[in-house]
Amino acid sequence: MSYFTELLHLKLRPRLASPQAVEDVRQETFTRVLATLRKDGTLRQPERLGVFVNSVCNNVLLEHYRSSSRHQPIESDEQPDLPDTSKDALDTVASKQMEDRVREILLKMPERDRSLLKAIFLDERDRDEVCRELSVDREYLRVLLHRAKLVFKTEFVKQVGDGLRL
Amino acid sequence: MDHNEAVERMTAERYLLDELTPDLREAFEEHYFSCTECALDLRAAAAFIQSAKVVMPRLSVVPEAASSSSADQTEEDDPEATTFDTKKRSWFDGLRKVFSTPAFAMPVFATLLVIISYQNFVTLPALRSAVSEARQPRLLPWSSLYPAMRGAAPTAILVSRKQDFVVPIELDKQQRYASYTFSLYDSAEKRVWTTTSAVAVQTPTPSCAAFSLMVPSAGLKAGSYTLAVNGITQQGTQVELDRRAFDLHFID
Repeated sequence: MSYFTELLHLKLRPRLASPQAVEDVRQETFTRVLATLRKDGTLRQPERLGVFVNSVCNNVLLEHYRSSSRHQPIESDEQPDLPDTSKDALDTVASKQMEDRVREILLKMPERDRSLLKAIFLDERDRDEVCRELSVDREYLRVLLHRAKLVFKTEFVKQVGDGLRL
Repeated sequence: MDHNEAVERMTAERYLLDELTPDLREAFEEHYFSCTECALDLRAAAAFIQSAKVVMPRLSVVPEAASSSSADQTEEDDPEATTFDTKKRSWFDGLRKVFSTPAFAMPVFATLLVIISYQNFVTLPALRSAVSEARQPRLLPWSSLYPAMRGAAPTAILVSRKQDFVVPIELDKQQRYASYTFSLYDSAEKRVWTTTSAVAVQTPTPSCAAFSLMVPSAGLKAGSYTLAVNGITQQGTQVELDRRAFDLHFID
């Protein structure tokens, strides 16, 4: 569940405006997947579980877009039942260690590369404009991110551990 | 989309940079939900970006300001700022810091000012004056020197220390030397100076070429000297042509 949770977040975050909407779609997706698994007993092709989850998510997303365009949500005095996003102690330590590793990676970069990443991901400026300013092309940015990811991946795998298994 | 294609095209990076077309985006999503390797790649890249957003603001501020800006900062965060500061500083930065302190900079600037002033107000005017004087026509004492023969008394030359003197030199036109050297020796036969001159021997006199050699008085002491004249052939062979002895006396 946690494995697919993260993948669903990566898929839904750029598509949906609010974290609440992301959470709604995610929960609905899991509800339908689990319902299908309970009804049928098992998947006909277990190796395609990931594809099945993705396709269910696509359907839920489509329904969400349709219902969002039809009506505006009614404001309620009730507090929404938001998922508990607080981290436990282990998550905090893992997160800190990953941040330390990212800091090391960033400090080893030339200033221009740091400025490029900052402008794109922190300041969220237009990518083409930033690349033009720093006299680089999009391929450079892609390769920069790719290399940083490769260096960071070792630490990430160390922290994620069992999360790799389905 | 298959795995190799996704890796070769850096599709995870393109996905996070929002560079994929809608079709490719959907194809990649379908792929990474079933490919653990690509899913890990994507998650690692996303985690890097997420952590970088947290870390980068602290990298961009001045370390001293960052350490005092938040009440929640703990001592553990100070090494982070120190690490950043240490990594950025180089030996040149340290050296520059020393040079830029007033205690060091002021004496250096004062010394430079003295040197520049001395050059501008003393050295350069003196040089200009010397050059100007050298360009002016002036009278120079003329002295005739006789060949240095055994037993003969050397010619006495009386000059001012501030004034050069001229010695007539007669060169044999027919010899056709490529150049001539003129050397001055003191009483201990130690060479005081030597100079080489390529002389175009073209004078109206058919068999001899007469020149005046200007001898600078500066640096000379009163005493006996010998002026040697050598001719240098085309092949570089040196041939002694003449030796003239004189006693130098100064009037001042």
